[in-house]
Amino acid sequence: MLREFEKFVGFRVLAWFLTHPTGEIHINKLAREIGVSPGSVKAYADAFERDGLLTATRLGTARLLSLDNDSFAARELKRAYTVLLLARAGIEELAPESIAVAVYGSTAAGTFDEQSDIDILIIGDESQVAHGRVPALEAETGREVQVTVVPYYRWERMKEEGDPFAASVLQNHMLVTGVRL
Amino acid sequence: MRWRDCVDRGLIRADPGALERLPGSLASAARFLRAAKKNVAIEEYEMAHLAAYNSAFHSVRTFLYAAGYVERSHACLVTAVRHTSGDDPEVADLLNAFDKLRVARHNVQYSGALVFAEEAAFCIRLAHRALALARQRFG
Repeated sequence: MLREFEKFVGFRVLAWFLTHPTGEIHINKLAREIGVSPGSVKAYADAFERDGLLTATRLGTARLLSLDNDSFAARELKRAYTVLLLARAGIEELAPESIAVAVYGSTAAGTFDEQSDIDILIIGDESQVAHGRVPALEAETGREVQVTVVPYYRWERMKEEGDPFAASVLQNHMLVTGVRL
Repeated sequence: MRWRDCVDRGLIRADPGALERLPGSLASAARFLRAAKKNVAIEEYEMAHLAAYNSAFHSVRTFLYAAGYVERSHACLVTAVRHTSGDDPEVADLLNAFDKLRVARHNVQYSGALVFAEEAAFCIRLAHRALALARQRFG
């Protein structure tokens, strides 16, 4: 699916901002980076600015564009795009025999930036985790991946005891595979 | 599996006699729980795990019987009780824990996963909790 999206110039423009949430860039530079004409970039950037996804600041005569991280739509698009990247990199094969795999933290909330880790919780055993798949996830997203493995019986105990980590994950996560947390 | 899939595939079906099965299921749950404890006492943790799962399964199944249904799939049992119990938070919490035990039990029974004392103790606590809730509602 991502491959189909990437055929559209507008999507490529938007994708740059979704993967560089704190980045500021000039139209010409962005055009060079993604291999699209400056005119096309400008047309889409103007449209995204009108939609409230991008903001523009002036630096002398230059117009710098950046993602509007306060926009809920931008937040949700960041989240959705990261999900597509993780799916393409094979997150569903990270621990298919485990009880559950979930993404939590800033990635799940859509509040991440370029420096944020991708936090993944696996309910199961260490032996069920294909750690060799982690580099592919990191390469696809350009971000570091942190995998936390918790046996189901400990996870349930953490929930019962009101453990703050468990509570925060329960409040904010995306279930990738397996049963509900 | 989704509720509709479970019903369409005959893995969950309405049964006018379902309610009559409820006392037998409670009795089975209690019997398996006793067996689980005996197995812990002799450090047979895999057997304790399987017995505790069976106990919890029979307890959870009483919720399905009470709603007038029977099942032919453990996965669909969870789906169906979720579907029929609505927003009941006690049942929802129990099902979330039971569903994990269901997958773990599969690994113990079919993949040779080992069980240690901590896990066995958890399973017995969960089976206790399931039976207590079932008795409170239907006993």
